[in-house]
Amino acid sequence: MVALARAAASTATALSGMIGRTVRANPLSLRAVPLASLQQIAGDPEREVISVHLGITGRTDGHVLLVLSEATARDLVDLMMGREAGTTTGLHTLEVSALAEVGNVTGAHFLASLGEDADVVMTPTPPLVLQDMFGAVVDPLAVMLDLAELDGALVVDTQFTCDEQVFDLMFFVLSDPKLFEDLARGSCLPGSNR
Amino acid sequence: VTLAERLPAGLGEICVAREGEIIAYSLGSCVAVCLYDATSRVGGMAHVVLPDSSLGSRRSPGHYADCAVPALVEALRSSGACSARLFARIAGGAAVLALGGKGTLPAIGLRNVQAVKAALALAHVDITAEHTGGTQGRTIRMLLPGGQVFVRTAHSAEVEL
Repeated sequence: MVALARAAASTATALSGMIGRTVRANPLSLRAVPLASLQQIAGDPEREVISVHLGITGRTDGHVLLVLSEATARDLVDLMMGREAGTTTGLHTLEVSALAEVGNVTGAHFLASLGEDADVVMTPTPPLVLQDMFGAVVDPLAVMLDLAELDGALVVDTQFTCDEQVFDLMFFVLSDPKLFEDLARGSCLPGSNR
Repeated sequence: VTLAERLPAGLGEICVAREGEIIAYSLGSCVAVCLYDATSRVGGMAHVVLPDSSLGSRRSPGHYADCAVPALVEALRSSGACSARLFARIAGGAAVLALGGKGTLPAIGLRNVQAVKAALALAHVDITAEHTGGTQGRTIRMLLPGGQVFVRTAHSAEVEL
């Protein structure tokens, strides 16, 4: 669990660098979720969200999803682009590109830090920004896990705080059992003190 | 419909009921197959994930279109439906909208829709309405005993199929 917290802290540092403000990672939660329940991991599956998807390649396959509300996405774009709060009112090409970069940098830092601790090489694929119901965003990933005949996924999520603002930026790491085993060997799972 | 009367059809699950509501939340590339017998007033839904059982070896038949349709028909027959009276409404099979970035997701929605239609034809079940394809996720619910099927997409009002 300490390794996961370290990965989240590394991600917060990367986010701080991007937006020029102090970002902190709140405590993580880690769950094993059956495939049939994946669409409920963020609560209401019909909640409309913006998400950034990165595939995980390397010794194991998996997916990282960064999920945020449209309001939080607009706040984040304001911070990234040095705009006054409330300036961003829509998500157009420039804003979407900025969000893709947030996903790229934060996801890459999270995976790199976690991989280093677990001695697992995890390389993210290029980001894809999606806008839909949360369940619909997760659905294609669940299909891929189903194709791999997996019964569930490891779900890690956290929040980030910037000054007085809380970003509901959730990380969902969905992976095959091999990654579970590698992380366990790297002592990242609960019960470990590493 | 109270929570107790709501029967969620998760990934690869098959649900049959005489009362209440069967619901499949936020389908992306998956397809919900809703079958109903208006005489016995029993209905069911399969939440199909993949088009063909040759793609995997899941024991649950609801995962694959080619297995889910006959399994749903059989489950309805066991609950008192007559297979000759069944008719189908299907929804789902989207390619979820990407706003940008360079990544890709698998385009399996269209294949799921095609496979569901082929399986229904093989089972001699007519499709009376569909809400498939496109780029947005859908929530599908079936009300029983009346058999009404409703579809909702993000940013849109619910419509009856």
